[in-house]
Amino acid sequence: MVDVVAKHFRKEDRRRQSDAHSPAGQQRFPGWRSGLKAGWLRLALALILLGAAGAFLAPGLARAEDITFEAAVQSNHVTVGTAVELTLTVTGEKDVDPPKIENLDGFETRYAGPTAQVSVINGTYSSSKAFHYILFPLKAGKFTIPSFELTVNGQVYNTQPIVVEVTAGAVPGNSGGAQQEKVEDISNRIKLLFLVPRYECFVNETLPVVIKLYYQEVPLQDITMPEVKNDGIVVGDYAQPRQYEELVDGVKFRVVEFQTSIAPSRTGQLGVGPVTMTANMLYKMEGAKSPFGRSVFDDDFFSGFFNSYQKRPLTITSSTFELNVKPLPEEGRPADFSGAVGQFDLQAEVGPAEVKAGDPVTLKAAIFGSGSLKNIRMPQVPQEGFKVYDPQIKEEGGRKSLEQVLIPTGPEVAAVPALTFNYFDPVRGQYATVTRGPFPVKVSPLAPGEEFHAVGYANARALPQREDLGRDIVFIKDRIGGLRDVRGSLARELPFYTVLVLFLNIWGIFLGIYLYRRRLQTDEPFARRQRAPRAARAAWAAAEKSAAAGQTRAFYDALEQGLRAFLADELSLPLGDAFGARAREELLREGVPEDVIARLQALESVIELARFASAASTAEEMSRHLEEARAVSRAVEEIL
Amino acid sequence: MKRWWPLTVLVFLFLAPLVSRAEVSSAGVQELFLKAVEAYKTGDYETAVRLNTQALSSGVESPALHYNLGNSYLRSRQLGRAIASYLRAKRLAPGDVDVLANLSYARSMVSVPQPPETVPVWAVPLQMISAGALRWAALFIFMLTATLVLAALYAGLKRRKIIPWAIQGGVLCIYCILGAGYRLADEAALGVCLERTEVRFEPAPQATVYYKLPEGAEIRVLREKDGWIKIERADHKSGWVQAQSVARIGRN
Repeated sequence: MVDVVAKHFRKEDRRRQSDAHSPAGQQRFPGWRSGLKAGWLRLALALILLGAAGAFLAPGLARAEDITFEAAVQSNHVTVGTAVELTLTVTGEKDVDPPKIENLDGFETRYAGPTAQVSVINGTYSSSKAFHYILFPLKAGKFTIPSFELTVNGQVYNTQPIVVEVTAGAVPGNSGGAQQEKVEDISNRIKLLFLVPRYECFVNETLPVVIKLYYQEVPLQDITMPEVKNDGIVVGDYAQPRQYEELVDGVKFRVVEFQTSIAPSRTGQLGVGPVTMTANMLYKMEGAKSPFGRSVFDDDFFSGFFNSYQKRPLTITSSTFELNVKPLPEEGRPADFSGAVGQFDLQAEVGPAEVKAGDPVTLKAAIFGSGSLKNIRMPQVPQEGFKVYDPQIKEEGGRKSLEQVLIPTGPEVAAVPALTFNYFDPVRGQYATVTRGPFPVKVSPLAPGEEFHAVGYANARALPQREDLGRDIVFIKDRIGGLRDVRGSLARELPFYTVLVLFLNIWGIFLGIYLYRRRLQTDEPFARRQRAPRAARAAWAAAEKSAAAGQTRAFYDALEQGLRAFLADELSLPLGDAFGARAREELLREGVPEDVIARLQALESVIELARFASAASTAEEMSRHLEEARAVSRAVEEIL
Repeated sequence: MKRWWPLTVLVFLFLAPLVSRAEVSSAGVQELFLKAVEAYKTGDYETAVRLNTQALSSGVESPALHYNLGNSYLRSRQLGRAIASYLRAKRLAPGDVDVLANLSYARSMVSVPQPPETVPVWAVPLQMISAGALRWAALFIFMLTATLVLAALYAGLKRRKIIPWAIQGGVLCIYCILGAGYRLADEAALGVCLERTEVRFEPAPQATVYYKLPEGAEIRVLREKDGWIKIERADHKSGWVQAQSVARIGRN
């Protein structure tokens, strides 16, 4: 391993020495293969960079050297009514905006959009951008399209002026450019007339108007409905327009006629109009070429199929006029006049003329005439004696009609009352009233058994009648019921808490008894401790009896048994251990004072002596010993 | 155990006079009530209102008193006060069909329809029981359960048999206590507009009016401040109204 590493370092040293002896400025590659690869790579990289630079720089060089700005028209000879295309071409520069062309003498212009072209011919790169304009000749004459200017990178380029000769052709040119030509052309070729029968009327009076569009040898398309400036007037519905030809001063015009009406809604001098319409006028493109060069499609026969016509939007406006609108006179105005102005008539009929009570009759009425029907209120039908249903009112065919179902309430009804309609007659200049009726109706009462019944339901139950139920509050209460104290919480809550406290006391007592008894059964030391005083008291009673009988031995036996049982139960000791050292230890551990223990020990000695030595005792001594036993047991009981 | 008895006896000795005082005050109220009934029957609704109000101001109440007062108010065209009285009667006797009928009728007269009352699902079974009755029911169930448990203990039944009874009784008791608490809290927050009332964004007369409430509209009282109360209507839009324009159902 060490030999291999040393060999490697020796080889590196030799190579460094070899490099050091090579000619100055020459850099040797690590090996001839890698050196060859690196050389090719560098060459390829240089070529790529060169190509890219050439590709990017060449157009720039060309642009800097070859920018041109040229103008061209498709034809220098056009006729009025024929459009010609003007093209402004910029070569060598693409980033230019379309030049604005305004107020070109003799033409109306419309910008049609740009086209761009890039070409490489024999290795020569060139680019161009063309802006296309449609020129509409306005009049005949020789016109010069002026030079246009373009500034690129601070350099100004100009086009050459172009002379275009416009001749009057079969199809007249239209206006739209200078106002003067527009008026001239409209008056000559296209006219829009707004015709009213008179220039004075009453407010709300309906005037029939006619709007006529005249045009002569002008190809119009897409003619829209006329729009009347309706400030202060109400324009009626348009009738179906008519188209016909009319001779005007010996010239044949095509006419589109619209009929409608206007009704002024306010009084005073009212400017009416103008009426405006829009349409598209067709212009034939002069010298239009197929994109594929001259071909069979350039023939007139095909030109119509290949969009060689241009549509030019056209707005046609009529003149205005003043209308003197008079107010309606106050004199003779009926009280129930509803504002109807015109000449009207009223038709009315009622049928059938003979009905039975409960059967309907139908009233049909219609108002028609020369005035506006829109705001007319139909005559009101008197409701007395009839059950009246909502009327059906409709307006069609210049008539406003009413149809209403009436049901006579009884045989006493003899007729449907008359209908009255008031309107103002502008021709006579006064109010008028039309009355129709009354319409006699014979109502006969129903014979018994002719009451209404549904066919097919003869055996069915009577249909339920809708009943309106009365509704009211329930009457007051006569008894006050249980009163509740609201003065204070203590008084109000007393019964509740009384019951609660009582129950808890009683329940607690019984629970305590239960728990006590249960402990007595389950806790032997406790039970013995509870039993000890009772056992002692019984023994003291027996001892007392023996003492009274003078039985010394029996007295001390009872005393011994009582005291032993008491201590055994209190200390949970066997009876045999109740006297002696163990009992004294237990008493000391339980906290009984030593003097009490000493007294107890002394009493035990006395008892032992009396029992086993048969020493005679007086009644007084026995009484004293009994009291001592009681006192000692009480002392122990209190502590334990 | 021996020490409980003296305490219990003392408590009874202290509370007995209060019980007798409540009994004594009902005599005058009864007389006022009957006079109000007579006035109502003769169509003197104003007098009926006055007498019933006087009876209620003596410190006792009953569903019939509130109900009759509500009828008198309704006949006197005081819709808001009528609805308030019916709601107070309903608070004491939720199952009284007369009260419910007249309350429904009065509510139908409110110019803006009132949304139905929304009650938590768990409280629906308790709707026909007043808060007081629910509390008594809770006490009764508690006593019954405790007695049964004690009896079972005395009878020597096993603990595993007794515990399910105790749990059931305890759950029922807690349910009643919660129901009573809910009813009390609900009634304490309930209010009725006594007149057409403008509800404002702030507790000030110049504050912007948020919306208007019709006479008789039922609202929730959120809090009080300087003679104004913040209320909330059923769609939870809250605002301030002057306190005198709203009758609190939890208070007479």
